[in-house]
Amino acid sequence: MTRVWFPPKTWATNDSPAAHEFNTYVRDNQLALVSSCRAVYNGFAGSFAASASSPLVFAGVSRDPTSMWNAGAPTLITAPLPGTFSCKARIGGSVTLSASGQAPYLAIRKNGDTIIAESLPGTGNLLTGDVEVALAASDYVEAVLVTGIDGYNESASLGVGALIADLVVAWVAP
Amino acid sequence: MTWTPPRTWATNEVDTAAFLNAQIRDNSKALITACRTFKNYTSGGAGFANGSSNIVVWDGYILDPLGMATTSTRITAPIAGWYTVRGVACGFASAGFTAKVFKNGSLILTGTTGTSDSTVGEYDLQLVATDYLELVVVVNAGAGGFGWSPSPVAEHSIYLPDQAIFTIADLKVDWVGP
Repeated sequence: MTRVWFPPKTWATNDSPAAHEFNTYVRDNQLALVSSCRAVYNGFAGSFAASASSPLVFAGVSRDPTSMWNAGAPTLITAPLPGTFSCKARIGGSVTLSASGQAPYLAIRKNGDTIIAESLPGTGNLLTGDVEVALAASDYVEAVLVTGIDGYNESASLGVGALIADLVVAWVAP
Repeated sequence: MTWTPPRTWATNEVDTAAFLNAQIRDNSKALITACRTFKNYTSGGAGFANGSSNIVVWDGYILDPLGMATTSTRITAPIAGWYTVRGVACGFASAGFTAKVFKNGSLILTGTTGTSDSTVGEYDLQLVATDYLELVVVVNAGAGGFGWSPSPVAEHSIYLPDQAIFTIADLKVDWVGP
């Protein structure tokens, strides 16, 4: 079921709210306000091939009250309703550059191709900014590591527990 | 206080006060759970010794609708869930210093190390009700000690026109969701 945000209703004296009004103005709007997903993976260290754009494959979520992530499509976080969402991603690792100096970067893509945020290229941990983007219901975002002629090795952790990477997408406003 | 998954109401249902308090009052409170404490420009004063670890004593808070600033050093979670956390300290220490966030008295997040400013975050933490967070400034061993900066780093500063202050340190904690 596609959900939407409804402008909050002004109740009148002696109003007797019907079930559908509670469901719209209370349930659906509260669910919109907590639509926030943090997809994570941790606990292992692998590597990414050179000259490739590799979506991060997340192992699970640390929070997802409105089911924006599912294990069947583990690279994607999908918007459950339209609105403006804040998005940010990070990954921990390192790369030894060859003479070309092509450092990798981390990007956030919308619907597979449109880049909405990028980290600075770097040889260590990569962090995108916190970007706000308009998404329609069923639009999806993913975090993609883009390498040059050198591969990239995940680290044992980003320094926060055993976390290696995460992608956070949160509804902000209609 | 807890977050209750939003309920689907049935036609002709008779709503009880308990339902309405849980679904509307408590969930609305959860959604505005946020706190930002500050240490201001004029309260710089005494510094910290080399090689010391110091819990920041706040001068006040910028927002705190649910009373999370339970002591002059602690922000306490009133509800279980995920919180975003960010801390900043601006000062000067030739040997360098690092801002850190402690949860219930134990280190949980380490910020950048610098001689003029240090930032922690922004990170997501899962807290239970009554967990508390503190900002700690750890000064490296060496010459010079640490003093609060009279000129806080611009990108970390907040100017409050009504109070005419700049922050030289702050800790920001926002509830994100269950």
